[in-house]
Parts: sequence; C-alpha cells; structure tokens
Amino acid sequence: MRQRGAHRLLTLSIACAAAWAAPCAAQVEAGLDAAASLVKYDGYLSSGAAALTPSVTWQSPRTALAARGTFLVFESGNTNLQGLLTASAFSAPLGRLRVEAAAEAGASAYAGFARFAHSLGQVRVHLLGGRWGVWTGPVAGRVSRGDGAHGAWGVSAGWWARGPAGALGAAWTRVAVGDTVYSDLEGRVRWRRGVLDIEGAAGARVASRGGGTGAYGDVSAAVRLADGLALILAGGNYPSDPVRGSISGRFVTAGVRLTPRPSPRAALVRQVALSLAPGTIENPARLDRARVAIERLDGLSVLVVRVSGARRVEVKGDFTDWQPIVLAASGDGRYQYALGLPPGVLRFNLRLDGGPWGVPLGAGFATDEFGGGVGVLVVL
Amino acid sequence: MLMLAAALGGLVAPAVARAQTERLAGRLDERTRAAVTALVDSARAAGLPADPLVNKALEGASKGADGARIAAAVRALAGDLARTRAALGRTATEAELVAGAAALRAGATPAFLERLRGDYPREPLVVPLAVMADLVARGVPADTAARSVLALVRTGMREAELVAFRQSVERDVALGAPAGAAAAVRVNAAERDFATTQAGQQPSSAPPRPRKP
Repeated sequence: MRQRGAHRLLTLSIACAAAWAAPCAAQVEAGLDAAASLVKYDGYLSSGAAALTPSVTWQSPRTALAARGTFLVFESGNTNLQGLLTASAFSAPLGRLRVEAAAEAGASAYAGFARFAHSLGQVRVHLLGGRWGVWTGPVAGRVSRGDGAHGAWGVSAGWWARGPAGALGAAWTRVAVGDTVYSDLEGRVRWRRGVLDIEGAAGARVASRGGGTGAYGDVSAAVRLADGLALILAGGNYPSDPVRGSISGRFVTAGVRLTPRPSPRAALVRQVALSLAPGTIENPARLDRARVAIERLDGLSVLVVRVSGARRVEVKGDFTDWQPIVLAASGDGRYQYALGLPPGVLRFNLRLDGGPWGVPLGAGFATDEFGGGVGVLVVL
Repeated sequence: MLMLAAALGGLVAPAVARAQTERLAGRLDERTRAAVTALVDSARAAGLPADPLVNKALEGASKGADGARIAAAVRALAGDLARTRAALGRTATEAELVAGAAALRAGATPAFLERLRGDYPREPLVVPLAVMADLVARGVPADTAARSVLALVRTGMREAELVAFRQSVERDVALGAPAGAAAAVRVNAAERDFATTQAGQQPSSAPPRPRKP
C-alpha cells in the first residue's frame, strides 16, 4: 500500500524531529491505524485491502526511536507483513550545526514467499535557522531480496521551512542498490487548521537505471473526531522503492487512527506529519518581530511591546473591548498601552504597521474559536 | 448594615449587568446580540462571570466571525466556565474560572483541575492553569503539560517560578528543543532540585526556592 511513503515520512521525521521539535524525553507515543484501501500496483489488478498499522515512538531531546508495522490482507487472502525500526541521535549544537547519526532496519514479506530486508546507516549534517533548516549527508547499507544481498549507498540533501500555518520542505536523494540507480526530487507541504491536518507531497524520479521514472504524489488528511480518535483519508501514487522492496502503485485509503493514551491534538498532528517542522503546530499568527511584557509602572501593570523597525503598533483585546488601540511609542522600539491592566487572564492580538493580527513573543498562545490565534497574558 | 448592603447590591447588580451587555451594542447584529445576551443572562443567573462571555463575543465580532460562530463560542465558554467551577469549587475566582476554561479547552481534564485544587487548596490557581494551557499551545501534549504543572506545584513552586518555568520552556523550544522534551527536562530539574533540598543539600544551580512546609 503506502508503505514507501510511510517509510520516507518516518525516516525524514526522525531526522527533523530530533533536530527541531517532537514529543518529549520521557514520552512514548503509540498509535494504531485501521484502514481500508483500494490499491493498484503496477502490473497487477486493483484490489481491496485491509490494513492494521501499529506504531510507537520514543523521543528525547537528542535521540529518537520509532517502530512501525503493517499487516495487510488483500482480497485474494494474500497477506503482506512489514516492519520498520528507525533510530536517530543528534550531537550537541555546534553553532548552528548539528550532526545526526541515524539507522534504519526493516523487513517485509508478501504471501510468505517474497521477502525483503534492509539495513541502512546515515550521517547527516544539519544547518538550523530560526524557521528553516537544511541538511545533507551520505547513506550506506545492505539490502537483501530474492536475488541475493546487495550493497546500497546514496546521498541526500534537503531543506525545510515553517510558516504561520504550516511547513514545507524539499529533498533530493540519489540511491544505488546493486545495479539499480535512481534520483528522486520531492517536495512536501503540510497545513493545519482546527481539527484538520493536511499533508501533501509531490515528487519525480528524475533519473534512473532500473528504477523507473515519472512523477508521483500523495495527499493525506487527518480529521480529529475526538481525543485519541481521528479519521484518516489519503490517496496518491508512489514509485518503486528498491531499498525497501516495494513496487510502484496507486492507492486510496480511508481509516481511523487510535492513539491509546488520551493524547491531545498536538500529538495527533505530529503523528500525521512530523517530518517537516513539528514545532510549527501551534504557531499560527506568530509575530516573532515583537515581544510583549507586563511591567509595573507607578503601581500599575502596563503592557509593553518591544519591536524594531515598526512605525505603528496596535493592540486589541479584552482590555480594549476588542477595539484596536494604537500604542504610544516611547523610543528605542518600545511601545506601551497607556492604561493599567486589570489582574487576571487577558486575551489580545497585536498588529504591526497595519499587517495581520497576531501574537508576539512573550505571550502565551492559544487557538481561538474564530480560525486564528490569540495571545494570553496573566496579570498578577 | 447588612440590610443596607443587600439593598445596595440589589440596585447595583442590574446596573452592572446592563453595563456588561451594553458593551455589545453596535458590535453585533440584533439577532446575535439577542442570542449572546440570553447566554450571558443565563450564565449570570447560574453564578458564572459574565465579563468573559461578553469579551468572547466582542473578540468574535472584532475578528469578523459570523453570528452563529460567535454564539457557539460564547456557549462553549459558558460550558467550560461551569465545568471549571464544578471542578475548582464555588470559591474559585473569575480569573481562575477563565484560566481553567482555557486549560480545559487546551485539553486538560476536570480531574486535573480537581487535583490541582487539592494540591493547592488555598493558593490562586490562575498561573498554574495559564501555564498548563500555554505549554499545550507550545506543542507539549496536554497530559504531559498537566503532569508537569502538577509536579511543579508539588515541589512548592510559586507563581513567579512557574512563569519563569514557562519562559524557560519557551526559550528551549526556540533554541530547537522538542516542546515536550523541554517541559520534561525542566520538570525533572525542578524535581531533582526539590529532592536535593529536601535531603538537606543545596541544588548545584539556582538558589533554593521557597517550599511548602
């Protein structure tokens, strides 16, 4: 089914997750996907299939372990069993650089006779910016299939960036497995709003000897139905994967995802698409140029914004009846709301130079009920 | 004197109520205003604070939301305020109710609110609740955020330290740490320091914090 995409996603996710953001040190996340699919492998008739995909991840600040299995039953009664283990460890930051060592091992068996296994090791160098990252590095390993074992090697490079409502990235890989050599270019984007999380990918096998060529792409959507339960819809096509032993095909899938622990939306979203920049999950409408603070002046709690290069700073919130108020500039990029704030929890938004309303640094961030984000301040 | 206070209260309360709903004038269409006013009145009759509900309606109007969405948001907030009060008790302040409602919306459970109240029976809960909601907003899973706040409260952390904890997590995340990991590491450090001071030693870094007796 969509295992190649899953492999790719998982591999990429481990790399970027440990570099940038993901679940926590003492945290294990588990999930179970139950899905029905219609698949059309190249060279085969289309077939219905039912799949169970358990997964578990363990992540700490510098290391990540993930395991995923898939049990597929086709209309014919034939089965496909697949498993994948990945591990990744990051060095301490070297300036803006981090070095990652990653390993992956997997195996699959179709109808009890076609068996594949692989093990790969990889070193990557990451250069991390505030909202972007690039990486590159070699990969090498061993692939075992019906015609014997082969060495595998390759190199990959990629880039990702995150924005207010999602993230996007691109990667190039060149892999050689025995006599087969191929290069893939792939772009991936994810977008989230409310209970909906969508991820799409488009790519092309731009050069190949024995691995086929052509374009491919897929899109998946996760709709959170309740805590721990999401509806998953996906479809697309994918190329062959000589390393992991899958052939090219097309698929549409509908299913549910169960997360046994009472996990919040954030965990669900990560599960779907943590490959690009999971730290962006709750960060729409961030105003990273500005920082807000509550200062005590003359016995009053005063809202102060510091921002450089802005000509006009406006605020609206509980304390202005949600009417925009222009903040008074007091020099050196400091802007101040003239009236004292009442104690309690206050919600607000900020706008710079007539741009979109957002949430500055220094404030808590919450999604509002109106499709955006809102800043939260606690005035003691 | 009591009778005078009661009589004054009887006069003032309708005036306050009127002033609260008058804030909606000109900001909502008539139909939405009527719906929101009914919700506000009904919440007030149930002893819930009205200002947060009016603020929610004004926020929706300011953001261009349609009337149905605004009314739904106000209704949901009223429900969360009621659930928060049920969990925190009738002595909960308006700020605690607002913070608790935000925490529930972020993924906290009423059981978490009850445990927090149980651990912190006489202290204001605004900051712990706000920190919990904020951690979730930064990507910390809700159950992890709730456990973190409970653990910190048990180490005797006060409001300023909780705010500092939140800022530390924010900084760690900005530097590239996974949100949940940042929270867990900071909580572990606080617990380690707490255990160290409980054992009669000073923590290796940071001055000793005030502890619960």
